[in-house]
This record gives sequence, C-alpha cells and structure tokens, in this order.
Amino acid sequence: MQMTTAKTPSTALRLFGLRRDKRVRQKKDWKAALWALLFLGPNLVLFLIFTAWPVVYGLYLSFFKYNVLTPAKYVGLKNYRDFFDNPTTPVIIKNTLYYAAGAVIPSMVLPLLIAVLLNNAGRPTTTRFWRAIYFLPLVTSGVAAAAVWKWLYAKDFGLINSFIRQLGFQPVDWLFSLDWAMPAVIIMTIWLLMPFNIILYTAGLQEIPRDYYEAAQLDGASTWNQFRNITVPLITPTTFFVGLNTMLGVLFGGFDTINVMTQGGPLNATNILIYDIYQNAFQYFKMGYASAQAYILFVFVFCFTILNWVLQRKWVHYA
Amino acid sequence: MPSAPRMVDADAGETEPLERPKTKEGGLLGRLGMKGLILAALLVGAAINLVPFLWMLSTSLKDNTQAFAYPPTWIPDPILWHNYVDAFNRVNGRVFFNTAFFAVSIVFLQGLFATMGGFAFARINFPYRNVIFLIYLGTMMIPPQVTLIPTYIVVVKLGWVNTYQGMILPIVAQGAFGTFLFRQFFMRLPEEMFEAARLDGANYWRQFWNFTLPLSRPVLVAYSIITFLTAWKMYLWPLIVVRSQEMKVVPIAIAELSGNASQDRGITMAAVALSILPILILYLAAQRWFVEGIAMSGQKG
Repeated sequence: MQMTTAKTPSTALRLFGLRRDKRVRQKKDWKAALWALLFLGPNLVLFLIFTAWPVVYGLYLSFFKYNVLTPAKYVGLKNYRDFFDNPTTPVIIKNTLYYAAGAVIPSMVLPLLIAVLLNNAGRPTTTRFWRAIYFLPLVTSGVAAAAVWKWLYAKDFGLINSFIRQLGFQPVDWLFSLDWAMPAVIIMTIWLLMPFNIILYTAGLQEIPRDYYEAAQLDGASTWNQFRNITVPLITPTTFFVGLNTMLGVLFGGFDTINVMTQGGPLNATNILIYDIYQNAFQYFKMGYASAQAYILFVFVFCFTILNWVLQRKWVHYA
Repeated sequence: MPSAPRMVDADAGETEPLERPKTKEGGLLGRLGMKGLILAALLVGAAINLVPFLWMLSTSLKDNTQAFAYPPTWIPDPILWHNYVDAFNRVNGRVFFNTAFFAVSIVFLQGLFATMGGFAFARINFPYRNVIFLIYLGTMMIPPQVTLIPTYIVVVKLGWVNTYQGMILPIVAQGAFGTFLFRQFFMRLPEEMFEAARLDGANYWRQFWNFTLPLSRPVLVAYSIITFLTAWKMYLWPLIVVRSQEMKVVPIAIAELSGNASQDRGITMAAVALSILPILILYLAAQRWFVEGIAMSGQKG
C-alpha cells in the first residue's frame, strides 16, 4: 500500500514532471483534488449527513431530555447518572456479557473444527456437497431463523422438547424460563453465524502451507498432533478475526433474534444493552437517555477492541 | 481420541524404521476409522443444520390441528399447499416488492458510490489522500447503535419517515467497507494500463468507467451478492423508519406473523419459507460467489 502510493507521483513526475515547474504541478494537484471531489462527492455528502453529524449530535443529545415531539431540555450528566443508578443496569450488563461470551467462544471453536472436517471430507465433489448443507443458514435472515427456532423451542409442541422427552428427560419451557431463555437465544445465534465463520476459517486454512503437513506426516505425526501443533497456532489470525467479528455481530445484530424470540423477557432475562437502547429510544422515546447508553456502549466496545489488539500479541501468530 | 493408536504407531515408526510396513497398516486402519468418525461428525452437524429447514417445510404444509399435535409428526396429512397462497396474501405482494426495491437500490447506489470512492483513493493522487482515507476507514469502528438515534432524528427532520429514501439512503451511507474493498482491488490493477490511458488523454471518469469497472467484475459480483443478502435480511432500520402497512419489508411482516399468537403456525412457516426462497435460488445459482464474498470480508482484519 505504501509503495504503490509512493509510486504514483514519481511515475507522474517521470512522465510529465521533468520539464514542468512547481507552479504547473500545483495546478495539477488542484485539478486532481477537483476530480477526487467529484468521485468522493456522493460518499462525502452521505457521510456528513448520516455519520459525522449523527456522531456529534448523539453525544450532544446524551446531555438532554428529548422525546422528539417537545423541545430538548438540558439535563447535564443526569442521563449517565440515571444509567448507573438504575437497578436493572447490572442485570442488563450481566446479560450482555453472558450473551457475548456465550456466543463468541463456541463460535471461535466449533466452526474451526467443522472447517477442518469439511477439508478432510474426501473428494472435492463430496466436500462441495457437505459445504452446500453447512452453508445453508446463510439464506435465512435473523428474523426468519428466529421465527423457526421459536417454533422449535415451543414447550408442548416444539420439536426440541419432543426429542428431549424421547431421551427420557424433563422438557424445558425454553423461551419462558429464566434460566434457559438466554442459552436458547445463544444456541440459535451460534447456528445462524456458523456458515460465516466456517467460510472465514476455510479461507484461513488455505493460507497454511501444505508442506508443513507433509513434513509432519513424514515425521509420523498423528492427525490430532498435526491439528494441535500446526493448524491451531497458524490459524490464530483468523481465530482473532472471527472472535472480534462475532462479538461485534452479536452485540449489534442481536436485536433481530431477541425482538422476535423473547422481546428481552422473561423478566429481562434476555434484555441486552442494545435491546434496551432500542426500547428506550423507540418505544419510550427517551432519546437522551438512550443516546447516553449508546455512548457508554461505544466506550465499552472501544476499550474492549483496544484490549483485544493488545492481547493478541500474546496468542496470535503472524507468519 | 481416535488418533491415540496412530500416535503409538507413529512413535514406533520413528524409532524402528524397519517396522514401516506394519506402521502403514496401522495407519490405514486408523485412517479408515478416522474416515468413519469424520463422516459421523459431519452427519450430526448436517442434521443440526437441516432440521430447522425441514421442520419449517413440514409445518408450512400443516393446518393448526396437525401443527399442535402430540407427538409431532414429520409428514403432513393432508398436505395443505394452500398455506402458501394464504401466506403470500397475508405478507402482501407489495411487501415483497418493497424488499426487492430496497435491496436492489442499496446494491446499486452503495456499489456505485463505493467504486467511485475506491477509485479516488486508489488512482487519483490528491492532497491529504491517505489521511482522509484513514479517517473514513476509522468510521467503520463506530457502533451502529451510536448513530442509530441521531440518524433517525435527521430522517425525521428531513421529513423522510415512512419513505423509500429514508429507508435506503442512511444504509447507502454505510459504504466505508465497500470503498476499502474496491480501493484494495483497484490498487492491484497494472499501472501501465492507466499510464497508457492518460497518454491517450482519457480523463479519470473514462479510466474508471471504460476499463476499471469492467476489469473488476469478480469483486463487483461478490460485493453485490453480499450487499443484496444483507439488505434483504435487514430488520432494525426499516422497522424504525416504516410507519404504514404499504412500506413494510419482509422481515417486519415475518416478525409480526411470528409474534401473533393467534396466527396459524402453518401459514407463518409458509411465509418464512417464501421469504427465504429468493435467496435460496440465488444461493443455489451462485454459491461460489456467496463464499467468495464472505471470505473477502475477512480481508479487513
């Protein structure tokens, strides 16, 4: 990237530059800037209206009481104080962490195992057949998948409980149980995100040089040993990306699943921060309070991302 | 677990090279066992992947008495094809049109702006290019929840609530990743081509339109498919902007059907199946591009 950037002006110089004085070149810069403005114009306008301004305006709103209909009223830090004083806040934070960890950790492990299995499934046609099945959840939206899983989780007529009964266990009222609602949402989320993560891992596996495995096979290393000592360490850049991506995916995308399956219930058992922000903003019209919550989430995610980048030095191997 | 015996064999092979044939036999047996195990694991996983779809299809052809039968049955009897007609009428053809229009507009506009932006960052040498690019890229780090509320207020102030532009343009604005992707691709195109074009007097627009875009077909296809997929599934933003029945998109209609307890299960599942159908066709026709598009998104890491 750096090299190419440096190359362009020198090439331009070589082609036209020798005979031109500085004034002409500045005129050329000015012309290039105009062209760039033309090409970047649509992006720039949309960026200013729908990203730059909202980021500033959101922070401003978090110091106000605002319900869209009546004029905003300045309340200082009250929204932030209210958030930390609110008795449901610890519950929501606990749920958010539970949901994130519960979905992210299996999403870093299971898809890797499946990607390796798919790679070793046999002839390319066989692999293609299995992949078609494993990637199928790609076609469903979060809403469609949640609608089907809600029906799978149903207490009396759901397929999952019927299976559990056949195994001789007590059925569970999944989505209406304080203990089981969150695991139910998490299992469905892992299922939904599986194809994306398998694809990312499959792409990552292709980056590992074949000769490493061949050398290990010549030394008589078992399949398990090859997996542990070659695949696992060399795939860590992908593992890191999958983890980060899944975390952002569930933290910001969990809304669809939760709104269809549980609406944050029962008794806030699946109420996570993004869902609470949505409810406060668009059902109770507490725009200022919800903006403060969104900024707290922003800070939290920012710190978490930085922490991750720091920690990755300890376990991610770059070739 | 299954590799334990092979490990022993391997050790033996290492210390006593003469025992090789024996080791190989053990390896073969181990490999056969391994094959069976891989197959078993793949079958279980495949079942977990397929059961929700099969159960959806099965229920979609049942009436309520069959859906709420105990124990549950897989094969509907009688088969109610009419559920699909009812589902289509209940979701409403207009809703399918809205979703298609929403998704296609986003693919087209975001694709055009992202390729233009990518071209500027890759091929036009303007002052402060890299600084501007990094700032633009940095905005990808901002959680959508932060901009959600103020963006909604902007849309209210513009009078765009319950309009197509209100649904579409804020999503088109989230083009930073596409811009990044196309920039990376355009930078790898051969410099000589652009030099030749410049010598022929082709301006930037003609360089962009005449050969940069045609040469980028694979990236364009993968990008379009992934963007279409994302837009077709989008729920939260349309839910916030849409007020009337006529402006709804498919995920909103599905969520409403699913939330309505009095609704027939069969018809709800038929509606879900209908909502999946266009993507399923696209998936079967272009599976390779789905995979490529998603693998491409891994590049940002």
